[in-house]
Amino acid sequence: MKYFLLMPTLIFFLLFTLWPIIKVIEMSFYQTNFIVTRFVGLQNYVDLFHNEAFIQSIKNSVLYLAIMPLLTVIVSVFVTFLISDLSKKWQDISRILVYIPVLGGGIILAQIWRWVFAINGLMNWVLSLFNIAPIYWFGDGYISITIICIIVVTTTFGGYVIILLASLTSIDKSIYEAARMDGASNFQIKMKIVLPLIKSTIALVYLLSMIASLQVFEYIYALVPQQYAATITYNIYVTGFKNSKWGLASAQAVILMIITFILSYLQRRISNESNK
Amino acid sequence: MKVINKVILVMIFILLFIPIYFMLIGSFQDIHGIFIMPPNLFPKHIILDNYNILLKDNAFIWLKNTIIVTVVSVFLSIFLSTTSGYAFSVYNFKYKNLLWNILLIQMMIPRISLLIPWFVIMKDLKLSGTLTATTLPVVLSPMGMYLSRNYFESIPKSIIESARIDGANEWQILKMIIIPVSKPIISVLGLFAGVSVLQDYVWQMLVLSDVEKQTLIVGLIRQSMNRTGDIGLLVNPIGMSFAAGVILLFPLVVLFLIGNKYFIEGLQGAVKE
Repeated sequence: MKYFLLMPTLIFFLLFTLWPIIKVIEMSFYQTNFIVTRFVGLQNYVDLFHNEAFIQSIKNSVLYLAIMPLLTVIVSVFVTFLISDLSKKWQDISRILVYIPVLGGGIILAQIWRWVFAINGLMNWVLSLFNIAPIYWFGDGYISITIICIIVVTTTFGGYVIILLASLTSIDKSIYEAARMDGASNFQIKMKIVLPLIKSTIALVYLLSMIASLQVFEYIYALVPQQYAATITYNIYVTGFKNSKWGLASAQAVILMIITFILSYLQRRISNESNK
Repeated sequence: MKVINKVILVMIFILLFIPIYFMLIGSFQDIHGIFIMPPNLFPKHIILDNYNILLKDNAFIWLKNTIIVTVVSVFLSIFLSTTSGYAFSVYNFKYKNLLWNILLIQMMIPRISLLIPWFVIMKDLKLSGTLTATTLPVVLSPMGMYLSRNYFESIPKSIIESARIDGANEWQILKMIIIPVSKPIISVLGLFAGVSVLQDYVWQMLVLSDVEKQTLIVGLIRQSMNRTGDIGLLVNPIGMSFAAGVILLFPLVVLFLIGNKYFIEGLQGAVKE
């Protein structure tokens, strides 16, 4: 019975998770465009060291990693605290409102941001009210990456708010009462008592956002399809799916997999340490 | 103090919904209406051209494909998550923990690292460009397995034990005890699978090249991004892309509003430790 129940999942796991992982590692040792294939050993990995696009994408990814998870945690904790002070009914409504933009994540809401940051778009109009000349927003790597990070945060933090709100409900209410008796202000209670109690959930949010920031794709694809804004993920897409250098793309995919594993591991270590 | 907090929260919500609102009204404007500054918040002149051009050729086929892919992947995803979640919660077997951790490893794998081999494997299997290729790789959900294992573990083991003592076999237990109380978890899994497949642009875009086989999300986005199309001067790419966004967002919001109670419970359940 148990094997019968497990069998479908195992078959799907072998076919669409395990086999692909082995396949991508294997592909990273070959040079192929599906017409000519030859074994090159570690050559793809060696080539990546002087591949300008790849190095640029690593640098960009570091920037995404520096901005996005931190911004995500700040925004989602801030909004969580604002919502948690509301009455039950308004909390329920806020949960729905905060999650709707998440549904438009990925490509769906990407288009509107092209208009917001167009040369004759909303943002430049707002600037013109202050007599600032129009800016070509996506002409430069740093500004593009910052804008993309902000956009991604607006369409992802809602999910994290729901997770954080759930972890707040597990806190014993008498702690608040005791602190209030001692004369602590609302702000002090939040910073000194609540924040440490939901530390492990915040660490989880940080981890999830870290993994997500390495995988930013749709907004680069729709808004700034340029090397100077590309994440590793976007560069893999360009190398493989656009330029048909599948071996090189696979080698990057393997490196990205390793980076993700290391980051998750380190993050888990750190959050376990701090919980002791 | 409290009032200020509420004002800030309301302002955040307004900021969040500004893009969605502009997308909605912009989708009913021509190119001049969209780029009038200051933006017209309540445009009087409504046109349907963006929708007409976007939907005139293949919309029906794309809708049909989307429904097929969504229904099949929701069904398969529920089936896989419930069967494995149930097996892990009720039975003991060798290497159970090891197997569980291996199955959940997929959560840590970047999607793009799977997309390349999926694409190649589908090519090798001569399935490239088919709805089968669109659906099968994405239905196994580690998060779904995790949620359903947690759910089934909350059913008291004593009920199952006493049914066994009364002589019920494993099938009967499943049919009489487990399935009747599984509606909440099935709703959660179904909603998650439905939303994720309706949002999944990247994989569907990569695997579906043939216009006749495309889903709504691939077809609409591609059509609206295709700025050198044969429609000539009439094209209003930005208006069409707004219309595409509206059409794609609408079913997701409806699905979410119908099941928001289950959906939020599921999200919360995902972090219970």
